[in-house]
Amino acid sequence: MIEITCNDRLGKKVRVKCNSDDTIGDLKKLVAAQTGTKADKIVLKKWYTIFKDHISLGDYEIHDGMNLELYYQ
Amino acid sequence: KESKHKHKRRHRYSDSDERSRNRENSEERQSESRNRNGAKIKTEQPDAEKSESLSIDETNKIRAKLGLKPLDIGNSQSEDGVKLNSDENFVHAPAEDLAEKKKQEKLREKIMESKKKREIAKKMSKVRTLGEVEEDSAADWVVKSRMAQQQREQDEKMMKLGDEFGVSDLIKTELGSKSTAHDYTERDLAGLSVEHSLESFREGRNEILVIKDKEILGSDEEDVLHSLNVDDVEKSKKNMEIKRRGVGYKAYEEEEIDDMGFFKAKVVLGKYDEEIEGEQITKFKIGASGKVDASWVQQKEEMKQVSCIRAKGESLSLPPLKLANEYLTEEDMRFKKRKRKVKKSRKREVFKADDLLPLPGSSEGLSNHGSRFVLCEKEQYLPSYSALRMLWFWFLTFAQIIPPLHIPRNSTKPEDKSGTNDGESSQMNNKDERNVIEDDDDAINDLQRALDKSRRAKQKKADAAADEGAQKVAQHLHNLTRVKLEKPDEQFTNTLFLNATDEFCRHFNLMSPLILFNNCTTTGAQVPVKQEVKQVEDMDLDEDNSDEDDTQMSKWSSVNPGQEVKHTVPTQENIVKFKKSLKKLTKFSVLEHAPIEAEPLAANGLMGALKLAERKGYLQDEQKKGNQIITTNLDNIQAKYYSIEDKNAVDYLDKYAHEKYSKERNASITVDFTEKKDYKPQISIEYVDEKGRNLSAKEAFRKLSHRFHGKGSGKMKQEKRMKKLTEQETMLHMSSTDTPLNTVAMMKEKQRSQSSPYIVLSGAGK
Repeated sequence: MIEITCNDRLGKKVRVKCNSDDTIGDLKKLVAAQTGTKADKIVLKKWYTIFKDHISLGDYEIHDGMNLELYYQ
Repeated sequence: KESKHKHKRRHRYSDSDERSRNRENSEERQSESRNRNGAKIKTEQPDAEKSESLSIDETNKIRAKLGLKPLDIGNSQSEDGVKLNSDENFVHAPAEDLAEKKKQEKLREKIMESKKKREIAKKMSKVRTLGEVEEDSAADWVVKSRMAQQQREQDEKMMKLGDEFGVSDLIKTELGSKSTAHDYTERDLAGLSVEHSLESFREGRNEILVIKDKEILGSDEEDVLHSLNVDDVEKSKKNMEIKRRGVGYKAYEEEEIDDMGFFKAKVVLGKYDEEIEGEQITKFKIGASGKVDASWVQQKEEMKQVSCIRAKGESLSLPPLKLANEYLTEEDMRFKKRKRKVKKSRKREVFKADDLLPLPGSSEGLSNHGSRFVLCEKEQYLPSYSALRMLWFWFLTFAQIIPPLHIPRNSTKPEDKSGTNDGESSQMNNKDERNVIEDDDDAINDLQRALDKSRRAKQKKADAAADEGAQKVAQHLHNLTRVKLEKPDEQFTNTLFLNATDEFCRHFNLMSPLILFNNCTTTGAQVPVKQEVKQVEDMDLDEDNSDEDDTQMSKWSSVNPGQEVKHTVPTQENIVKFKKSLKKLTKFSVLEHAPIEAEPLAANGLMGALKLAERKGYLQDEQKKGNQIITTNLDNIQAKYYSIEDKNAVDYLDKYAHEKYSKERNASITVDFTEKKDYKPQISIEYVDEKGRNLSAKEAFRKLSHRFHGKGSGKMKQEKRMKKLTEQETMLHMSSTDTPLNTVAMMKEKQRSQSSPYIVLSGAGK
């Protein structure tokens, strides 16, 4: 179980608990549940790397305590 | 400078502004964080941004709702922060420690050695060493030896005594019973193995066998005996064998024969067998009573001698050649001629009705099946009639009304008694002695039936019928011939008879005389013949009738197939009419529109002949050929007044005018000027060289090519050309009457000057 921080720099900062074998899509759903947005409106980025929905967190090497950027489309 | 300041200031201001703005914004954000419900909530939080987080349970609840599996709680790992064998943390297997390896090896060796030592020690503990001999005192040993000596002396004495008295055996046995332990006999050898093959021990020879040397620490094997001599012999044999084989590898080894004469099986790389498998040692064991069964050796020897068991080798030497005998010998005569079985081609026995046994009570052989030449009992009363009959048959066959008798081959004739007799013919022979000719001709059978009928009819009459026989024959004959013509007689009834030939003729409008005849006589029918009315020539005809007939015959007519064609009786009247119509036919020469015309007769004078000739094509009518179209002079139909506006004009509505638009077409097709149509100038282009002479085509081309290539000919060539030119010029100036050196003119000149008709030729010398 890892905890990831998603920050959109506009006031929304959420810490989400998930497994490392969860996919980005699942993570987005969790974030949406916490923030109150729609999951398909969320875009998770790190600098210019857009995380794709079908790849797991472990494959992206997203570990515990990492910060991801939260954007909206 | 001011501007720079301004910029700096601006930047400073801008920075501070930004910072303040940021602060404001963050505060605003914090203050304006919205709830899911949408209501503004002012969160009481410090300046630092804080993130929301759910507890594990809550997260799990959400996950369950979303359809994800619950959180995987691996606390220890997450706390450590280090996961074993995850991607970031691997632990490499430690590298092999060579020193360790060596240590282990040494240890292992040591262990092995100590083990071996232990084993040897164990072995040796059983063996009595020299030091372990029971040590008696010297005195005891002396006593012992003395005792032994005494005993020996006693034995010897006994032996001597025994020898003298001849009772040595008894004594021996007595002694033997005492000292069996010490004597060493055959039986002591039982169980020992000898390291040689039995074959190396010959009968009658004594060999001394010795125990083979063994290693001290060797295994606990039994003692093996061997003889040194035999050893040497075997060694020498081996060496000879090796010598014979030779050194090196022989790819194509010859077949080796073993002692029985059979070929040895070939082994792959046989020379290494000894190295790989070790030396093959042949041993034999001494039996229980110290004897060895060596009978098999002798048997083997015997078998070798017996040639039949031994493999026979083929000798390559052929039997010696000898001269052939001129005369046959006894041996050659012994060959008998083989008897050839003659194949009898037997036909299958055809089962015939004749083969059947006759019914009891029926007359066999005497039955008359209606054969022609059998003299019937009935007929015996009228011999003449039968004779007549025969005559009549002969006459018929002669007239070929009935087909001639064909007698089948199988008929028996008394002369036909050849050697080759089939089963059938023999039967036939046996059956009837009379010559029986049987025919299968149906016509004749019919005839016979008819004959029988008539015969019976006649029998009823008086005997005088015999005289009328001939007449009757004739009449019968007449009747027979009449039979064929019966059919036309039947036509005189009211029925339609369709005949293939009639149909054919009708189809082609041929005038068969019968149809015509019939048509003439019938009233309603019309003749399907067109004839020109003009050419009717009535010669011998009644004009009344002719008119009638003309009207009938002048038109095209169709024949109704359903109509009954009435055929009339050939009365005299009809015959006359028929004759008339025939005559008409012959006169009407032109039947132009009939598909098949009858050839007009040329017998009607010149006109007829002319017509015939015309029709046949012998005459050439020039007028007829005026129908042909003359195509040479087309001026009448050609347009005279026309103008060509624009030949290259293309109708833009013309969708198939693609070719006209293409440039290639324009380029290739060139049209002359219409104004210059009749202009045909005479062109002659002259080329001139430096001197002003006209050049020939060849020279002109040469000049052109010089100019083209930029270089002319070389010096030699030019000189040659100059020479040629001068020669040509001199040729031109040459006089026909005189020699090139103008000899005649000079002579004339000289003569004039000398005023003498002769010239004196004087040599240069004088």
